[in-house]
Amino acid sequence: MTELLRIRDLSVVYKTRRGTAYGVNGVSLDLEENKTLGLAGESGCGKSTLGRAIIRLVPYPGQIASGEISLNIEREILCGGGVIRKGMTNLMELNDEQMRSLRGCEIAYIFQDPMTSLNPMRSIGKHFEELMRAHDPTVKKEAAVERAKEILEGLGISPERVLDYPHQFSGGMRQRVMIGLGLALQPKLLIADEPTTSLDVIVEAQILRQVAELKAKFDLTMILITHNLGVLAQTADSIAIMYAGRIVEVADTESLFESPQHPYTQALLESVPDVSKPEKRLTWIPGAPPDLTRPIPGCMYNPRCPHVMDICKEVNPQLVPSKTGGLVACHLYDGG
Amino acid sequence: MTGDKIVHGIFFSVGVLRNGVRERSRKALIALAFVMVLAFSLIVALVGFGLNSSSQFGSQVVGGTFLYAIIMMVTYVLQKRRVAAGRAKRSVGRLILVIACVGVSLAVVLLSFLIMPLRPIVLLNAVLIGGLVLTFVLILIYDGHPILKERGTAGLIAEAGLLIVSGIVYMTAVSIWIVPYDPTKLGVGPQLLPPSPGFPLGTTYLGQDLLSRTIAGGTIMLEVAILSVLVCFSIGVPLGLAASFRGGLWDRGVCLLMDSIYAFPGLVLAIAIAAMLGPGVVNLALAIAFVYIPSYFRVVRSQVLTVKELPYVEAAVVMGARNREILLRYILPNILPSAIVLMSINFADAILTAAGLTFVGLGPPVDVPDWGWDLTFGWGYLISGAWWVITYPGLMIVLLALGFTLAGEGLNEVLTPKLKE
Amino acid sequence: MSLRSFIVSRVLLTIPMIFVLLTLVFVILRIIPGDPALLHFERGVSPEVLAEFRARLGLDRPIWEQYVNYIAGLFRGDFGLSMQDYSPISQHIAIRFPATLELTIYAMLFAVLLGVFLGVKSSKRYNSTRDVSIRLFGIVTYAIPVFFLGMLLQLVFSVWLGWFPSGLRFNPRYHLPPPVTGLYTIDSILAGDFYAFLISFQYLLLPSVTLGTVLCGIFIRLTRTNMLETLRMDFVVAGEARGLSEGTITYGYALKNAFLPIMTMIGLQFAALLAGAVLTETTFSWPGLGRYLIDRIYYRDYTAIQGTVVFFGILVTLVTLVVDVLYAIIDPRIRL
Repeated sequence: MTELLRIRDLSVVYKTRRGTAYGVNGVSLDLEENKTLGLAGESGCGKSTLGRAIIRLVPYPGQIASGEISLNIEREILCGGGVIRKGMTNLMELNDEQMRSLRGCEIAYIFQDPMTSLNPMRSIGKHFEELMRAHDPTVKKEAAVERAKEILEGLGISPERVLDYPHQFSGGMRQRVMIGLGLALQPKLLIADEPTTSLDVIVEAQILRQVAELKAKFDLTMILITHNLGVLAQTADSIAIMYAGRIVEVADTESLFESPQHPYTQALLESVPDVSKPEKRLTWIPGAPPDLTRPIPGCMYNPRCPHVMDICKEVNPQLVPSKTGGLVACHLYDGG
Repeated sequence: MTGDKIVHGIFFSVGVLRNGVRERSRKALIALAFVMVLAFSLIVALVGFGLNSSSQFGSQVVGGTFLYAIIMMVTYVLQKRRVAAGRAKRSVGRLILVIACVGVSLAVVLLSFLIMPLRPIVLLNAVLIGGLVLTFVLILIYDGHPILKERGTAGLIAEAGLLIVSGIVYMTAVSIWIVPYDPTKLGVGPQLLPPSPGFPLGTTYLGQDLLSRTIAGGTIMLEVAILSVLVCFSIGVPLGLAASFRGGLWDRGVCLLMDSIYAFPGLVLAIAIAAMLGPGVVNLALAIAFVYIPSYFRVVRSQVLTVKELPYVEAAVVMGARNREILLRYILPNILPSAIVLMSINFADAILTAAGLTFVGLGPPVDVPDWGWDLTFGWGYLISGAWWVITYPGLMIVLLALGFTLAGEGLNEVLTPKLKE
Repeated sequence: MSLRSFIVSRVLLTIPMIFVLLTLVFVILRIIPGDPALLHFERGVSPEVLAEFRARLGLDRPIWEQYVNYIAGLFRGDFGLSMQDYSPISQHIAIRFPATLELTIYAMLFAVLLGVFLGVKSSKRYNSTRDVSIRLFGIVTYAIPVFFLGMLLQLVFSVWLGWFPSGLRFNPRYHLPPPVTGLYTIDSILAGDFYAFLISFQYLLLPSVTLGTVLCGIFIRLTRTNMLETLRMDFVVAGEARGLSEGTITYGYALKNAFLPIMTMIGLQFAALLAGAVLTETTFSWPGLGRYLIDRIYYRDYTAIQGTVVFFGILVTLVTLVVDVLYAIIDPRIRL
């Protein structure tokens, strides 16, 4: 399988009044084509920041401090900033205009809250028209509207609604529009940031099913960012667990759920209520969330880890191959 | 503590910036440098004037200010070191400082009686203001910056503004002693001379030295501004408090009156009133004050209405607090910050309005040096290319208004911080 | 409350305000210790002339009767008679108001365009040097007395460079376009007289730029604050993630939000605009209502001063009323 995305040593910092916070701290990741990677962790662990970093839209006051993000570009793109050739390209080396033309075209990003992600003053059709014009200024209005209608139909929305405004749609339908906008130009990579968190479970199931269909149909590669492990269990091929801006474990979905290696992963899975075991008591992870402005030299999880050792306080564990075929960053496994 | 940065004053390296401000330190240090340059240029200018003045007392006055500042500074450093070394308690240190303040002031008054029997009060004010500002600047140099630790750039902006204002006030107060020529005297030099040695800013059509007029020209403007703000504040604030607190028909009626006054273009109303009252500093001040009373009224009223609804005020009422108590202890402290910010903006507006009124001919008597008059009279000679007659007085007005505006902006962010980021 | 009842109540509120306003002016114009008639004639005058003067202007009536006549007159559109030649003041106002109108329109246009442009530029790079210097510019322009700025511009552009005239409204050697609106620029366009348009524009430029610059500060700040808020919103970031160009985002998405507050601010600044116009007209010898007021003060023409000040007051009140109503119509929240 070919490699689609390669991230090496990515760090994103937020410079605030209280200090510099490392939203993402030395993350390395590989993603193969046509696979779905789940990115999971608690709030503030850096998964959204990582997703935003890939499209180089980290919100102020954050900025990408260092690292390499290489994407295997499928189509040659001609744009104002210069030609982008096919093959593995380091996104950090592209200028602003080149990056802009990649967004929406090669990489699509879907946001969490469909209620606020659409421009309330523009009709749905106009959204599509704008999108297509932004990437190909020669596109005619009628052609764009036709395409928009096609896409809406494919999503299960009546094509006449292309003239309607966002507030006339329900949450689930808006999310489908977002997905439609994301896939309109047939990108290779789709990053979904908590796509179903603000939807009720029935709609969530519909959306997930639809996304799975689309993925198969368009040969998509997906990164699914969520804190909901249940969703990932259904849709992801492999899962990466993040904590305090670092990746602590990567594994195939099955292996992760069956035998989680990292103590944090174990604690996460423990804390999810199990319908089949109603008598199990709810557990939680003791201690407080990490302060990203004060990175400690050792493992960031050590204050809360039940298996903490002395070395954990001094040396940060690197990702090493685990016995389940994935990667894990923990001194329990690296012979330390 | 990790990440604490030592701020290097110029002479000594004491003073510590807390970690949090480190990220902004570059911009804050640039702003700090700006304030320092400003302070130094003010000092250098004043020393220059003092040494060159026509009266023999110029250098003595400026020298007196410096002496005052240095004495205060030394006392401050000494007491700080003693407290740090544990040889004296904080409170004792402060006491010494206050004693030094009072003592030196008394000494200055006595000395003034010996040197200059005339106007000791003015001398005292001048030396005190100048001395205190200078002391503060020296502490800034010595100690790193106290406000930087909390509010960063906003505090510095407020300081820059206050520094400009104090500088101009000081300069005006000691103007009699530091002017190179008598500003009102006609014909001290050739007419309409461009800036040249001997007359660094040139001369007016009447042969008056422009530099002297520029130094001394702020008197009327400052007097008018201070008077009008005082009047405005003392009427507008109590009115706003009373009306909003009482509520009911009273409130409605006064509101209506205030809205009507507010509806006028400020200058137009001031022009009408000033035209009716006639020339004079007091009349000018009253005219301006009248126009700005509604602003205070509105600000105070909106604040009171907000605070009145707050739960802890309701709780106090339920517990039986009397109206006066509620007013003084709950409401007043809440409205003061906004009122103070409004005051600084008000000062700036008063100055600009006073200048405007002078320009249309309704200003103070002509014989006192005034920037407004220099602008008005100098305007006629622009055609002949005499740019200096209007530029310097105008620049001073801009500077003074700017000082108050900056102070207002900075204070606005310091006293009523808004959540960002 | 419904739109109609809001408009009705707002209009009703204006009526007592205008009454108080009129009374205020009446009182102010009579607070001088002394007899207005005597004060007008500085050099002393014969008793017969004085008596006739008083009778014609109604100054020999008791105060309350003068007040009633004054109010009644205003209802008829009678602003009184000038002390100089007993001519109706309303006539003078009618002749001179179009000049002031033209000046204020162009000045406001300049202020808004400059302010919005700088505000947008300032908001794009938050807290950068550009941002800080633009904000500083806004503060400094507010602190400059408008007539001083006018003088400086006259000095540079009229005296030194000779590009623009330093006063008056039109070149006396050329003929005016036939009056339709009273605004020379519009009239010349309507008459197809391009040369007249150029001339009137040439005379209009310095005064409008002067007045506009002094007022632009508030628009810089308003636009900047509004843009900063809007640019952080989800739908803007979502648009960026789709690869929409910067122009589309800034102007199509973000600036549209600022439209309503800017419109409102124009109305609120109207009073300041008129005040500045008075000084600007004096500086540039612009034959408008402001200069008329100043002239009348010089001649101690108290009735004319009263009439003009009343006109200003009523004008501002009506404009504020219109702005409030328009705002209510456009803002859907009040509309319900």
